[in-house]
Amino acid sequence: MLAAAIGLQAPGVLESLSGSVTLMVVPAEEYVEIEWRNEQRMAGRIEFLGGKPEFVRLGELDDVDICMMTHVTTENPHDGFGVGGTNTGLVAKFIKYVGVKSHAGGAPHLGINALNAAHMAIAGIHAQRETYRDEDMVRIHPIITRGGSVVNVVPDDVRMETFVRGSSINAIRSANEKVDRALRSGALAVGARVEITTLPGYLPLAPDENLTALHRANAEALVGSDRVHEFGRRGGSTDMGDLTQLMPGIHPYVGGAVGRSNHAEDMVVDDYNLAVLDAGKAMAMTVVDLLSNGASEGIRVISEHKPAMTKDEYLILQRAFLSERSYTE
Amino acid sequence: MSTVRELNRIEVKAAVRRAIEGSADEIVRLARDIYEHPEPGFTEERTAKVVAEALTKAGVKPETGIAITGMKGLRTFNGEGPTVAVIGELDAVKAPGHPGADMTTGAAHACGHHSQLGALIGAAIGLGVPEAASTLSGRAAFIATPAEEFIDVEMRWGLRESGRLGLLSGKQEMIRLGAFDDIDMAMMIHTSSSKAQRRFIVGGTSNAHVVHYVRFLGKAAHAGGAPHQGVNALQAAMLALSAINTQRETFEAENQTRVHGIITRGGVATNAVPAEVVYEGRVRGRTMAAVDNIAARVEDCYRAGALAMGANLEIVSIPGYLPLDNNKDLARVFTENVVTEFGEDALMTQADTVNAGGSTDMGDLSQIMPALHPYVAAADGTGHGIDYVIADYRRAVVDSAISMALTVVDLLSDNAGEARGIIDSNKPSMTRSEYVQSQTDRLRKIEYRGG
Repeated sequence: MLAAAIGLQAPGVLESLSGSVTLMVVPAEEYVEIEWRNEQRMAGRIEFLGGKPEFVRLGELDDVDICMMTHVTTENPHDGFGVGGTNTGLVAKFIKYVGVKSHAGGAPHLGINALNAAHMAIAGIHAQRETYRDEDMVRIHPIITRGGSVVNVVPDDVRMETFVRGSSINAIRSANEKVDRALRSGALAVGARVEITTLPGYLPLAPDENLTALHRANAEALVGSDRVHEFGRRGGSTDMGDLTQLMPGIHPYVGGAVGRSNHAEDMVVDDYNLAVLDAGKAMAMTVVDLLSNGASEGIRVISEHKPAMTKDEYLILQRAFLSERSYTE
Repeated sequence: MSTVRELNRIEVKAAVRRAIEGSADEIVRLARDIYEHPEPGFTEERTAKVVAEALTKAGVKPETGIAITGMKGLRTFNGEGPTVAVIGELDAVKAPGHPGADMTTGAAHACGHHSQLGALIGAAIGLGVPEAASTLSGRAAFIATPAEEFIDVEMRWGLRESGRLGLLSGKQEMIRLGAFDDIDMAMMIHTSSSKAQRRFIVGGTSNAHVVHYVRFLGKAAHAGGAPHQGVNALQAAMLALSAINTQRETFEAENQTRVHGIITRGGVATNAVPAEVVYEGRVRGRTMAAVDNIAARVEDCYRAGALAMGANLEIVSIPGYLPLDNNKDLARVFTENVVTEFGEDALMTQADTVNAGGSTDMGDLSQIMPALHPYVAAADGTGHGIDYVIADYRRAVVDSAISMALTVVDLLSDNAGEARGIIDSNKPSMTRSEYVQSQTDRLRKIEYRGG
């Protein structure tokens, strides 16, 4: 982003462009530490747990017409760009099983094991995997953030976080219902209670085709067409997806990183020239294309784009995902 | 003029014993014949025919067809008095791979019931001697009961649905039908593969249980082409069993809880999402209250499996067996005979609290009348396993017949004073009608919609 900013400030550039360029630094794209963020939500400090949805809600994007960013990846091409492609959307869940403490050796019959409830819930989630269609790209991958206090006490407080991802809002909704059933069944199986908080997450990424074509041409000019690949359907999620539901936007990838995958402990950027400079150049060049000649390309991109929803519709949709329920079966 | 000399009890017993010894080959042959033709509960047609013919030959023509294959023959002695029943169980368990298994049904006498029937006939022959007829009071009943092994639940449920059965085990149903209404006390001897060198094992109890017949109902779909349109009942059942396993840590050791079952239907074709999975299970424990408590939680586990998958569920909770309560006075009379006939070394007694974990419908009888269910250590192998065979037929059949027949002699001698005393001092935990009512009421069918 800074590279793009520097490039666009080169002498004579801004004078030749119409419109404006906004540099936006957004927090909390990684939807993690859900319990803590949910506490911030309940304390009224945020409403949405991701940076861009919160920016949208706060109106920070109200005066933005087109958006773009570039994400680094360990995927091929290591020496080029990946453009196009989609990402899944998600809802996030914070789950708390409430059991009853007792001495795990001396009186296990007096306890209700919340960890066993969570174990059964996860087994239930797994048992349904065969029912997800390939094209729905459903991903459910819980973690246990609290699994008991000490080993000789029957766990009475077990907490989980998970995403329910899918390639469409309907796929997410349907999978989320199945996950809720599995979570409830864990409680029913052992006689525990489960508190399920479902939180609005991210929407699937739908990159604008015109914008993708402009960016792709610039990327090819920088690194050669054989080093720019068309990406396909991707399992990860990004809150850039939310923006692409509201306005023309792109979220291309740039190589220059190595490791097993993003989010792995061995993932490092090893080519900063590519990951930082070329990524910045491609975005700056795309801005030039959009805003030159009276911003005619920018106006075309906007006019040919059909946003999936308005901001108000977006807020209604996201808020409808929020639910906080308690079940014993 | 002939003088009728009063026979003393020792002489009567000697005559009874002689008669049984004289028929030893015959009753062992009968037991071995039944071993060769094992039949599972409520289908013991051939077994019943063999036993009825042998009883008839022994002079006790039985009423047959009670509870489908059960029978009862009565021998009336000289004087008025109570009725003492000697019982043998007609059915085989299922143990495919057992050397005596029926190739079609998998039934095998891997629980030794066939030798009980030899002992039953032996006791009938022994108590048929004139010395018994002239000196004993009351009656001896020789009862062959179907279906002690609580298996084939789906088939039995079908018999109940078609009105042929009320309660689903042999003794339960015979009690319900009134076949035990004129019986005052009952005994039988079960074989055991206990390594104890003692011949007879007296005492102990058995677990209560309930029987579950569970249908997980999903939705069929092409398992490769459209799994998203199916609801997998097998996954629901798997989750239910896993859920049950998570509960095991909560079972109290002193309750001797056992939860176990089989899947009798697990899907019809591997490329179709299983739409119906049938599970037959048991919940056992020391007391009915404990069993009911665990059973309720097990039912929640079935529900949890269905809920997770969005499947539906039918649970039939079927009254199982009550704990065995051996009558102390019957045990005393029996052990006296064992010691007299076979010596001190032949007897092992165990505390009333000793519970191997299994269950028997003799437990049900023991709750409504004085009853005795000792074991004869005469088998090798593991009960219900493919290696359980009678190693000593003489012991299993002949010694058992002798010890039961002589016990009957003691009970019914001297105007049946011993039997009358036992009846007077016994406090059954429930009346027969209370028993039938309570077992009938315990039968529940529960439907649950997880989808």
